Parts: sequence; C-alpha cells; structure tokens
Amino acid sequence: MSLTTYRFWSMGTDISVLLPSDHRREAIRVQRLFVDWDHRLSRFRRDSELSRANAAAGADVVVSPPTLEVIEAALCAARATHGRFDPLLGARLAELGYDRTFASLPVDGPGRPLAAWRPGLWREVHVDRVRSTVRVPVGGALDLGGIAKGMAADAAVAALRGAGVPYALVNAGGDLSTHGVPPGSGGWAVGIDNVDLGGGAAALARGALATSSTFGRRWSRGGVAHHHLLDPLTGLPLEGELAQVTVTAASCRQAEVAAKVAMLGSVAEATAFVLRHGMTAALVTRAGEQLRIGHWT
Amino acid sequence: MQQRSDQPAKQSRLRRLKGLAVATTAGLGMLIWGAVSGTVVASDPVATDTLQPVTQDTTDDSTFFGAQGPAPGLSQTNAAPMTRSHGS
Repeated sequence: MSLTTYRFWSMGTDISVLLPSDHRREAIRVQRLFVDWDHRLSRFRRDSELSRANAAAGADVVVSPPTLEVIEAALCAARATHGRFDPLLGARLAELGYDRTFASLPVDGPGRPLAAWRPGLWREVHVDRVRSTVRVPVGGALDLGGIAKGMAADAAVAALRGAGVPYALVNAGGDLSTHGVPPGSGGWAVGIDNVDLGGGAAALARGALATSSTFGRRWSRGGVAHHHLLDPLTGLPLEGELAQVTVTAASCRQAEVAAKVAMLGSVAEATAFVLRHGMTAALVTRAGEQLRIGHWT
Repeated sequence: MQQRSDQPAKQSRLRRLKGLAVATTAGLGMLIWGAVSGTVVASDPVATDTLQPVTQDTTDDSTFFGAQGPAPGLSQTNAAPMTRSHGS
C-alpha cells in the first residue's frame, strides 16, 4: 500500500498528514479539524474564543468545551513544571512585536518600552468547568500556539484511528503524532532540522516527537533581535545553552511541553530531565554541538 | 462519700439547664427580632458555600509527562525522511 502526504496550511504553520493513499477523505477531515481548532484557539483571529478571552481580561468568558480542554491542559502542564511551561506569554510576545501571524510579521520595526514583567501570572487564570468559562488576568494573554498544535495533532491521529485508518502520521509544524507504522518499515522515517542523521533519518515506531528551536521565528524590533521562545522567569527571549531540543513522548502534547521545558535549562539539566522521564532527545547547543540522549539505537 | 460523689452530677445537670435557658432566650430573641425587622430567621440555619476545586503544583512532573505511557525511543535509519521535524 503506497503512502501519500497531504499538505495544507493551518494554525500558522504547515501541516502534513501521511496516510495510505486511499484515504483522501480522512485527510480532508483532518484538515477540517485543524481549521476548527485554529478558529477557536488562534491568538491572531479577533473572533477566536481565545482572542475574546484575552480581550476581556479580568472577566469570565464562556468558551466551548474543546477550548476549555486545551486551556486546562496548558494550565496542568504549567503546574506540573512549576511554571517552566507558561501559557500566558501572549501579551509579552505582542509587546516584543509578535502581534500577528508570523507570515505577516515585518522582519524589522521600531521597538517599544516593555511593561514590568510579572512571572507566574498564569496562576491567576481562572477556569470554571461547570460554567465553561475562563478568566484571563489583567495584563496577561493566553498563547496556546505550541500545545494547541500538539493537541490538534493528537486529536487528528485519534480521529484517524477511530475511522479505521491502519497507520498515520500528523506533522503540525514539526510536532509529530503517530498511529501505527507503514507495513515493512521499522517506524516513520523522520528528518530533524539541524541534526545530522548521517544522510538518513530517525525512525519513530510509536508515540510522538516535537522540536523547539530558536533558529526559526526570529524578528527584530528597535534593532534588537528576538525569537518566539521566551523565558517565563524574565519574559525575554531565551538565551540559554541550548538552541534546539527534539524530544519523544507518548503524546504530542507531552512532547511539545517537554521540548520547551528542556530548552530552558543547561545541557546537563536538559539531559537529566529527558532521562528522568525515559524520553529520547536530540539536543543542539548554541555553539552547534549535537548530542543524543536516551534510547537511540 | 455518697453525697460528695453526687455533687458533680448535680452541678453538671445545673449547667445544662442554664445552657438550655440561655439558648432558648437567645432563640426567642432572634425570632422576635426577625418578626420586628421583617426578616425570616430559620430555626436551624445551615449555610451552604460551594468551594472551587483547589489545585496545587505537583512535586513530581511525571504526573504530566508519564500520564500517557512510556516515551518511545528512536533508531537511526538509512531510509530517506518521510517528513521533517523543525522547530516550532
């Protein structure tokens, strides 16, 4: 059975769906799922549920159950990592100039003074499951871009599994979620940007994989270079030892959060974190050194 | 000895009677005040206050990262990449 890659653009990034070639209808369903998630969760759509909640900071806003689920997952990740994963960086990213889709963002522009940073403000996000409301604290804005993409990939794979598709991979801008493997293969052959895999690829036999990187999504304001990965403690673009982390996990939601958390630490801290959770990772330092951690064979 | 041993019991009964009298007086007072002020005073009020669920940071982040099973490993293959992971 041959494999087909279906491509489309959604959630501010390129999406690829790898399926057996006779499943075009299922690929279109996946596309609709991403479009639906984008309409609910985009920080850049004024009419999205997320934008309405951000615009009404300080007040309860009714959102749909899927949106509430993503917000709760993000807050769960923030609590579990003691804020090293922070879903409330949207206002700061906008202050730094990332206030529209990256594709439409001017590469350079004037800078502006930054407001005093309040780390841990995410703890003041209030969710009411019974009323299906969220209240964003004044001065903050939710940005669920990464975890939302990962969860959308997981949801898409679950839908494909439920539809009886024998194997599938959904790649949401570098965040991969899988179901089964193509017949005769040892896994999905995945290339990882900036990682030398000897001209080949890394085979992923199950689960998920995500990459966080400071190499992409860069812009300048007032002559100062920025990128989209912020340090939740300082509210400024991360300037750590690592430039890129690729990590595996059972789900894409976990891999996405793990990659961001690992980026915050030194090589030693990232290594300890990856090993403690039985994950496998490829690290790239700012100096260009590449390291493989965990179960590589 | 018998008289002395009965004495604490009598004092206890007396304290209970005094307590009952005070409680009755207070209850009557509340009813009278309620009637005068136009408010209704429940004879046995039980306030209900629904508390929001309390969440705490977990001390172990494996509650999040381990919740969906073990992470997969990776093996290097000579096969051409079917797809690529780039930073997001």
